[in-house]
Formats: sequence, C-alpha cells, structure tokens
Amino acid sequence: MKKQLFFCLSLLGLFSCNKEDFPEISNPQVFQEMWQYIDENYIYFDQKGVDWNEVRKDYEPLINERLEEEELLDICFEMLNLLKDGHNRLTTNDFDENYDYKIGYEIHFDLSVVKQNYLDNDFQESAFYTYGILQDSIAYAHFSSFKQVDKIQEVMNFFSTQPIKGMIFDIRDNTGGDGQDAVEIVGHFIEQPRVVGYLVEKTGRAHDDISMPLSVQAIPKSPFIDVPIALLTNRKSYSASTYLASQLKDLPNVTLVGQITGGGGGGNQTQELSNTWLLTISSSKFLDIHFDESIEEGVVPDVTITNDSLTLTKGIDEMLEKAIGIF
Amino acid sequence: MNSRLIFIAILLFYFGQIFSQVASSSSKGIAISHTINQENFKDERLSFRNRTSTGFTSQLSFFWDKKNTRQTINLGFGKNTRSNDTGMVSFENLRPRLTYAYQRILHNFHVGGTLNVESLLSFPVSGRWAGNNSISYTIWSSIGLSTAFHQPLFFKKQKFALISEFHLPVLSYVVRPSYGLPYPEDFLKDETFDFQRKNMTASLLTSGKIRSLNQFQQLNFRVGFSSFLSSKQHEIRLSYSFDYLKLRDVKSVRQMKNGLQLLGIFKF
Repeated sequence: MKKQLFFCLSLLGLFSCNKEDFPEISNPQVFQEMWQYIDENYIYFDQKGVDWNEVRKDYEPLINERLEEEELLDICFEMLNLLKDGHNRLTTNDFDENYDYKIGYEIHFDLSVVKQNYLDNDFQESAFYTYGILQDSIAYAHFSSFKQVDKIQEVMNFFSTQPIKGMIFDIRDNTGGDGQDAVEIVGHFIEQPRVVGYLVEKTGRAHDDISMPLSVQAIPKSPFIDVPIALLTNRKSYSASTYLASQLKDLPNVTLVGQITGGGGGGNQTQELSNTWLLTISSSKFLDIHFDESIEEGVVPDVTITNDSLTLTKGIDEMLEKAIGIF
Repeated sequence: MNSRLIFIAILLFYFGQIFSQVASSSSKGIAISHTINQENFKDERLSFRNRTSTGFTSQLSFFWDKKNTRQTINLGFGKNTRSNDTGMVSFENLRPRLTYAYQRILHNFHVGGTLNVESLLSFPVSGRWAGNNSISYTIWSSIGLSTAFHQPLFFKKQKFALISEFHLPVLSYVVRPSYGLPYPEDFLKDETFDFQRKNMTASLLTSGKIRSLNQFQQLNFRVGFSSFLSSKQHEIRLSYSFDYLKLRDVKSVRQMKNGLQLLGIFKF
C-alpha cells in the first residue's frame, strides 16, 4: 500500500512540474529576433530599395543591455520605419504605432459636412456606411471601413431602386479592412468575370521566395449598377481602399477623383516576439492588372484635387463638388 | 507523388481492417475519459514564446475484443484555456483527433499499430493582433506503434490493475501553412486567389508532406491504476497522461501536455 501511495504522489509531482515559461530576454536578442523576422518574412525589400543587411550594420551597434525598454523600442521602431510601409506596426503595452504614410500630405475631410450640406440630412447609415441621394439624382455612399460585406449588398439594392444618373463612392479616410469587400464592390459594376489584379505571397525565408502572381477575379453581382462612377479618395484611403481604387481604376466608366491613396494593397502578418512585443509586417503584395507594384505607394487619381481646410470649415467639400461635376 | 500513393494505400488497408473485423467481434465496450492537463505550447508561425496554460481533453472510445486481438476507435477533443500571461496575446488551441488501434494481446501486453487523423488549431486572442495570420494549423495523419501493459493486482480480495499505454506514430502525412499566411502550399500554385477560399479544402488535403520520426514526433503515454466495479469488469481508471507533439519545420510547432485522466470503461 505504501508503494502505491508513493506512486500516486509521484504522479502528482509530475503533473505539477510545469511552470510559466517566460524567460528574460536581452536587448540584443530582441533586436536580432526582430531584424531576422523582418528579413525572412517582409515582401517589399526590392521595391523599397532598402539593403536590410546594411540596416543591421547601422543599428546593431546602438543596442546594448543598458537600454531601457522605451529606448530599445525607439531604435527598433526607427529601424522598422526605414521600410516606409504603413502595414508595418510595433505594439507594446503602452505603444501601438505604424509607419505614418500620411506625412507630407494635407488631408481634410469631414463626413458631417457631406451629411448636412450635400445630403440635407436625408441619408441612411450603419457603423461603417453612410449613403443617400445627392442633388441631380447622384447616388452617394461613404465607406469608412471595409468590415461588413453583407452591408454592401444592402447599399447596392437601395441604389438599384433609385433613378440615379451617376454614383459617387467615397472612401476618404477609409483605412481598410477586408479585401473581399473591395472585390464584392467591383462585382456590382461588371457584367462579365474580370481579373482585377494579382496577389503575390511570401513562400520562404529568402527575399525572392515568393509565389507566382495569383490572379484575383471579380464575379458579377446583382444588382448590376450601370451608371458612371466617381471614386473619391484621399491619402488616408489605405490598404483595402487602395486595393479597391486599383481595381476600379481600369473600368471604363469609373473616374478616380481626389488625392493619391495611402498605398498598402497587400496583406500583413503579426508575430509575438520573445519580450511580448507584437510585430506586424507586410507579407503579401498586390499588383494591378498590368502587374504594376507601384500601388504599394498609392493609386494616383484621374482628377487630382485636395480640400482646403478653411473652405471645409465653411461647409464646402471641394473634392465632392469636383466629383459631382464629372456627371 | 509515389510516396503519397503508398501512404494512401496504407490508409485504405487499415480502414479495411476495421470494417472486416468489427463485424465478427465477440465482446465490446465503451470508454469515456476526461483529462485535466497543463499545456506547454510554442508555434513559431505566431510567436517566439513558450507559454503554459491549463486545459482539458475529452475522449470517447469504442473497442472490440476477439480472441487475442483488440481494436479501438477513439474520438477525442482537447482545448486549452487562456493562460495567466503577461503578454498582449493568448492562444486558444483546439485539438480534435480520431484514432484507430489494432493490438495483439500477448499475456499482459497489447502490441499493435495505430492510425490517427489529428489536427492542432491555434487562434491568437488579442484585440491588438493586426495581421491576416489569425490562425495557425497543423493537420496530420499517422501510422505508428501502440502498446499497452496490464498488470493485475489484488488488495484485500479487491482486484486492481496497473495500466500503462504508449502510442508512437512513426510515419506521418503533415499539412502546415506554406509560410507566413495560413494558405496551404497547393493553394498558392492554383494560379488564382479565391478570397472566399472555396478551393482551400482540396488544397489542404493535397498540400501535405510525408514526415518521419526525425521531423515529426508525437507520442502519448499513460500510466495509472484501474479499479474493477463488478463481475462484468467495468473499470474506473485514474492515470497520469503525457502527450508530446513536435514538428521541425521552417516554422516549427511544439505542444506538450501533462495531465490527470479519469477514465470509465464499460464492457457489454
């Protein structure tokens, strides 16, 4: 009996031998981990023109054990920003920043001006969508984010019952969401399946370990909206918004109006580092139908115009008026 | 490609064994178990950190005894709970499994083979997880060795048994994402990218690689005591349970569980 009791106690000892595995990690280890993860997973090295090995030579000497976490964070974030990629993000308990792709641009947009002065407070809206009819039977829809693919159908159904002569899609200040939403929107403007661009995925550690371009196809969706379309963009139209702009740009009945978009058409991935920081970087890229990678830096509109802050405070949205003027 | 065909042929052989022998079974039973375990986990597709959490595994088994053989089909499901972690993210791990074992009974030993289909699905849980890699998965099918040892014990005319079980897959067909984002390899060779992932399931089935013991290790070990409840020899068993899984890959994964298992066996 004593032997059996001893055996049971031994089992309990085995059961409880695990402990929280949270080792201390040195600053040079964090730096090495971060540099290497970017080296093996980031997809835009060629396009960004950054020699990542040279970056290591420049920044590694700055790292030592005496650095406080904030100092280490500053250096690592500065290194990450050399890639000038808005999808690249570093997150800690007290810090959550990405590269600011808006630097150097005047961005002025106020949805309440559109609601009050152009929709006359007659509109419908949900968490991410505002839509209604402007003067002269022009449909207007503002998408603040792409997160409700089912809502797109509702918006299109509404417009299909209205006697509209044109449609303005406003994606100003829309910083992205689900890329599928963009493909769904394009589906309402085409009658035949259409390749709208290509995705390239990282497939291995080397910089040139990438997949072949995978075609992205938009499928026609009901209702078919057969009117001229203006897509309103600004520099804050990022990620899935850039993705939509690049897909619509080549449709014959679509005119892009506004500012160059923010870029960031590809996908990204997140990794938890050993010191609990979260590192997010671009790991897939989107090419337009001409295999052009430059949309990563933004889609240039057909008609370039920027709102003036003073004019906007007076209730005038010059970008919107320019878009209305093309119909 | 040839290796895949051989592997599929082996699978068909094993399934053939199940259906040809179940019909002629002479005694059978059901086993239900619940294991409380402590899990150590690291998936390099999501994190460079080891983390520990608690969790459970529930299993339902059917077995058939005939002369000197035993066949067992086991359905299991494991899940961890969130760890008390200082990080900004925790991981929810799900582990469904289906196992078939065929064993010869040689005195106190059961010796045979196993065939299993299992998966480990990991989901980062964090409001600050910004990437498109919101799942990591490992799906595998293995053939391997299965042994058990039963030593009857008597204490004050009451029958007990010391039980030990060991399962070790030796050859596996393993599916992991191609690289960073959770797309299987064949999905990225399809020339088209389907956002709705309609063709993802077929790609999952064909994107695996054959892995031997040096690349993919998985073992299950139990040791415990059984107490017999009636003349029909229903059993209640309390066991220490150890599960280990490790895949050496471009982005490796490891899961280790220590647990305490309560098992009820009902023969009829």
